[in-house]
Amino acid sequence: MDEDQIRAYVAAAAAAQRLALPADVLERVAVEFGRIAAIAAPVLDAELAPEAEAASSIPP
Amino acid sequence: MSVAHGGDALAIAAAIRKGQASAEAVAQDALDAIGRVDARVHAFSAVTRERALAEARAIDARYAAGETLPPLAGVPYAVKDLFDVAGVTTLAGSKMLADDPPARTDAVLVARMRAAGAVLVGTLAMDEFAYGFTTENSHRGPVRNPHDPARIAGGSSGGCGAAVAARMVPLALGSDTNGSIRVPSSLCGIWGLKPTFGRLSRRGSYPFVASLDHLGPFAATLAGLAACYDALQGPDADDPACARRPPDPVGAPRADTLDGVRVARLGGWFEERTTPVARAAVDRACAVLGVVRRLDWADAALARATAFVVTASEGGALHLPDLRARYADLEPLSRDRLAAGSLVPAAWYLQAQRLRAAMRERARRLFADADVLIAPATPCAATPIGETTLALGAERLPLRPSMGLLTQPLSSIGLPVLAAPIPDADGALPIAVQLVAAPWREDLCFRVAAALEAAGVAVSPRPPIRA
Repeated sequence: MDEDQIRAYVAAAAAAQRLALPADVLERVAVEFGRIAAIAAPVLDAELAPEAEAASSIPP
Repeated sequence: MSVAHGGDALAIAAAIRKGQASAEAVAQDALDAIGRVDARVHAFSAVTRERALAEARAIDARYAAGETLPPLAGVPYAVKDLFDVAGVTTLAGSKMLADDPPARTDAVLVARMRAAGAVLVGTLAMDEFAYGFTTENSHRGPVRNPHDPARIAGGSSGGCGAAVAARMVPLALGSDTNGSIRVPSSLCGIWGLKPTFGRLSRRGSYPFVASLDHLGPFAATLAGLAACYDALQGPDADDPACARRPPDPVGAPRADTLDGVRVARLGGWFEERTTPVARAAVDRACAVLGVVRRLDWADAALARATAFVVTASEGGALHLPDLRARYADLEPLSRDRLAAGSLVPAAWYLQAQRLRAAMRERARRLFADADVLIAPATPCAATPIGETTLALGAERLPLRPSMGLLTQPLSSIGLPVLAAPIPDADGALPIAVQLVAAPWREDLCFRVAAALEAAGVAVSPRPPIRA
């Protein structure tokens, strides 16, 4: 995601979560979301074996 | 009997058991020490004076009646202020919970400490809602490191780290979701234990991330850590996250039982994401243990990423009502991160959880080749209060989330980790190493720790600010 995409996503998702935040706060939240997205990249890229896909989402 | 008895919990307990000191005198001494010292470190959020003296007098009455005293009888301790303490409002480092009614009952682990005879002297400061590694709490000011008050004590259990390091108490209870016991242990130079996920009951503690929260002890001595840990163990049928296992007491640590324990050094991520001072601590530990083997855990970066996503998502979801209604009352240093976490797509969260389950299984292969793994606990020693970036090689990272780079992967899959302080011979700022074992093998962590202590390499150094 580029910065514009992040800002647009954060604005829309915040509205969906009923988070009515002023523009300057949304800008800071977007920066933090960008950091999460960057760190999360390996999570999104990782492949799971089929049996793991079907496993419970929360480990015991 | 002075609490500044080296901060030695078992020496205090022995003195009381032998009638050499009264529990009330020890409690009063601890309260006096807090009064003298805490103004300089700001570790305590509340002092439970009346309760401490009442508990101490009860111990003295039992002694006078000829009863056999429990193992921690008369030992002063304090708890991170996310533990429920009857009659005290559980703040969890926040401003907004200050108006809540006081807890009606003790948290399970507080009740177990009471059953072991320990004397509660207060609650300890933390990062708001446990979301931080530095305890720079904007509502009440930072906790200061007793080794250098211009530096952080680590977090989120920074009050625990500072209180034990300064010998105001010999024992403390804290929590560790991504490193919040191990980071303060390292930066304050004390012993800390993050047990296996599910080992200890979490009932009666304010949550952060249900998938990752662990509770555990801090101590100024290894023997105190072991005794405290043993007192906390046991199943809790009313905590669904607590494993239905009987206690596995580790007993008094013995350095002569390291034969047959295979120890290896964690390389890769755990060497790349460090500074020379952190690597040097591992070098010293490995040298005395004769460790030559290096193992790379290929999943370390992925494990850290999954913990980051799960933390962001669960933490954000938990606090969504407050994010909607009371944004301005939340900690400025973490509220934007909490809000961002509440926006993490569900697919990311579910993928992270599936990966955690897969990595837990893959981690078993590491322990086919070693019983205990050694890694630095923090990338560096304590940084100045207010510092915002951390230099690792050519990279500058945001400091506050990065102090847990080395702890977060290990707690992501729930492994037991003991933080052992390995001071530099030159008396520099303290730092610790992590001793990591397979699930439910805390005993192996203690055996290696005992060997390091016996070799004179692992010890909690006394700071300039102390009781």
